[in-house]
Amino acid sequence: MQLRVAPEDLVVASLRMRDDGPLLRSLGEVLAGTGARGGWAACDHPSLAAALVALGNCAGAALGTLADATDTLATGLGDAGQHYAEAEDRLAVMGRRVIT
Amino acid sequence: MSELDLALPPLHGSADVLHAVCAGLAQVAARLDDTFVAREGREGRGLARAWAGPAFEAARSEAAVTATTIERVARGLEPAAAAVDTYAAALADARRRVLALREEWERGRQEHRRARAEAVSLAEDPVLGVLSSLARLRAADLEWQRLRSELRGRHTGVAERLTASGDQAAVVVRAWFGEGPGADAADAAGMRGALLAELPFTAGALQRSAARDLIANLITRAGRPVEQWGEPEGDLVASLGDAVRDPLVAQALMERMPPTLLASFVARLRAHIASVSGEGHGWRTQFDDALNTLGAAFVTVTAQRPWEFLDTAAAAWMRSWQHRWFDHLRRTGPSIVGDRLDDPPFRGFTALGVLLDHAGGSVPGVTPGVAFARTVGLAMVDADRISDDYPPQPRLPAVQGSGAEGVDVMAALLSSLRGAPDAASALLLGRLGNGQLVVHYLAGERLTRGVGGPAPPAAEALAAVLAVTATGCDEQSVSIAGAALDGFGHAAETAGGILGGGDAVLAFEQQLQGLRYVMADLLSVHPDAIWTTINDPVNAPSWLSAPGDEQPWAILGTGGWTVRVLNRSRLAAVIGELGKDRLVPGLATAGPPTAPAMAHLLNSVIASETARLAEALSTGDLDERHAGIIRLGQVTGFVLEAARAGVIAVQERADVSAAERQALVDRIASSLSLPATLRKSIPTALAGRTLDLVRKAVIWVGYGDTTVGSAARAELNAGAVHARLESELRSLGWELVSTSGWWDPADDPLAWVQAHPGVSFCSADGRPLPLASMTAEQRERFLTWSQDVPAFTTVPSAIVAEVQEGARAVRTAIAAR
Repeated sequence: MQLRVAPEDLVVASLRMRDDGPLLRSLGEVLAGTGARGGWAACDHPSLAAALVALGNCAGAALGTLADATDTLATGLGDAGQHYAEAEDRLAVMGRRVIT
Repeated sequence: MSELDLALPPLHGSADVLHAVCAGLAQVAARLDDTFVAREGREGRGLARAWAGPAFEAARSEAAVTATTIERVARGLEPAAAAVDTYAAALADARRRVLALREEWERGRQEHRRARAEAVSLAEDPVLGVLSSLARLRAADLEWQRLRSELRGRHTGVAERLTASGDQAAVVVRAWFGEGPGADAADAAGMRGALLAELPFTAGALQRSAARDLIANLITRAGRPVEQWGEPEGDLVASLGDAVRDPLVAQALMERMPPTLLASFVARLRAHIASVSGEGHGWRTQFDDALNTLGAAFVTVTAQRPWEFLDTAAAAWMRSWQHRWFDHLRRTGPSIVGDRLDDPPFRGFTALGVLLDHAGGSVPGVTPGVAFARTVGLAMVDADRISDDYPPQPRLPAVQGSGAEGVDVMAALLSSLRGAPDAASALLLGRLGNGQLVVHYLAGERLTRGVGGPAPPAAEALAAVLAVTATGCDEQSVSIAGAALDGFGHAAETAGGILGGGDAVLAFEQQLQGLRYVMADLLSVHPDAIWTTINDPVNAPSWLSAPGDEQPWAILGTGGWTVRVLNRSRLAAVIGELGKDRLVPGLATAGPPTAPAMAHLLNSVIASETARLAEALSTGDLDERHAGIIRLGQVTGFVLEAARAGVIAVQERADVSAAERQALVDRIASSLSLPATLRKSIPTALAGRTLDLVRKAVIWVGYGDTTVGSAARAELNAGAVHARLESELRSLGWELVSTSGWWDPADDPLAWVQAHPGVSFCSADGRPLPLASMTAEQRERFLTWSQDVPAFTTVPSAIVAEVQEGARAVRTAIAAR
């Protein structure tokens, strides 16, 4: 198994991705509200009104799920970066012991 | 409702709000592009500059799916927003038009009123008069009616155009998510499920999170830390019910309840039960639900690959956790967790035994895996070997019971592996701290430690496991079978030495009984091992293993893997124990619904030796035939004499009634038969003769020792018995020669009958009739003919001599112990 890692990169990626989850979640909530308003505003056309409500719900759920995914990735990247860094430190210590 | 509202209903939708919705959708679509994951997640570039390996692939894949899906959402919102915008414009236009129509309607209505009023006023005019007035009234009404009709038509046109625009918008909005996962989702739950199916990393994390929340909630409800848990938390744990069959929930529970705390909790529940004796069933089973739940959780996370349904990254993490957990269990298992004064002590492994026992009934089909067997299972057996917990000492009535009382950890472990042959094999072939194989220890040394005690439950559990792991012909099965037979034989050989004489025979009965039938089963898979051992020129007193040869009892020969027995003494010891099957005084008729072990072995031996003899006879080669006779005789003699020695040993101590012994002997004899496949492949008459030979030998040997009241008399009669046996064997030898046509063509009996006029002694196939069915005259002529056929002299003598040789080998081996 080939493994090549720059732990600090993972931590940085985790930090940059950390805000995506909350943003996606809030946009999902916006969409859910927007769909409901659209449904009301298109009340003269029941089919369109239903389609707008469904869009709001489904798109809101999709963004909520994607928010979970980015949260999971951000956490995973952060944890991985930290663990890789700790492993590097241990290896470095072991290496120094071997040398000295 | 007014006539106007009925004729030209107003439109209620809000174009302004729809324009705002459109703007909102577009704004969300634009903001989605601002996310880091959408910008850089698609190719995985932004995750790390230098990162490669399986974890990167898992993260990259998840980020790519997330980025792609975000883009799908964004790009899907744009046409939906445009469609809504178009509809909003149409709605605004329609509303303006409807408003205009309604105003026109109002003007028309006023004009109609004015025209009518004017017409009415004309009626008073003496010139124009009434007729003119009526005409104008009719004209005003007609005009109003025309206008209303026209306005209704124009309103309908406006409404239809708006509906068409709405239909087009609805189609676009419904298809906002395009093609792909989630496109058909009807609601939020459907959408979430469809996307999570594409995001295994996230789905796994969410499932793990839900499982952890469930267990955290349980601990919160308990109101005190897990370290203090005891009988009050029994119902709480039981409330988890079937949820623990979910590996993630089970893992979360075991994570919050590490091995030492788990063992302490189980110990407290068991100690609570043991604290009061003499209570009823309800008291003893009060924690069964809790222990069933814990057992189910325990066995679920010990299974082979409980995380298969998770994504690769999560599964790897779980495997890593399981590895650490097994190591923790292995290290802490031997420690005492209950009261140190308890006898037997309650150890960490005792708790595992309790949980495995309870899991067996609550989660059928889920069994510990190979990794558990190789680590924790092996450590459990080694702890059993090192400690003096087995056999448990009888408890004095005044001493309070121990929570470990009645828990046979080895039985629980072996029983849990019944449905898992791979894990069971891994355990049985595991090497203990002293280098001994687990199966060798369990089938031998452990039994000797329980001499004089009741039958160990572990023996029956071991028998069941051996039946599924050691009856094959592959290297692993043969290694297990060989080690089991060697351990069993070694225990049987040394039993006398442990107790210093014949008393060991009865003291050892219960310990070995559970394994006798399965040992016969194992030996019957390798009947050649008997002849190989009898004919072994080395007959070594101990295994002379070469370096690296770790399984000396498993040999790869030309016919595949087979068992090797150490020497004749050990083989005689094993067979002697098989002869004692069902001989426990007072329990001779009890036992599993199988043939006695001896009959099982003899059937296999007869089948094997008859097939070999048939092959030897068919070759026509004198040496081959002679070798076949030697082998048949010696194997028969060895097996019967070894069994007889074992039976005599029991009789000496138990003075078993003659009727009881005869019943057993009859049952063995009547159980002997040849497998149907073998009967088809060899001459029927030959098979029947060989079977008769062994069956009669069984009866004579058995009756000869039991028709008298004591073993001493039996020994005195042994000479007479052997004389009768010899006579019958000679007779059978004659039958064998007749049946097989063991003569030169010049000695053909039909030719002889034609050359010597008189009654024929041959059957339709040209071979001599069976002696018993010949008349006196036929027998006379048969004897005359047979005097010149050498085989009638050599074969019967050889059979008798070889049976005696086989029996002598047993006596020599036993004497040399």
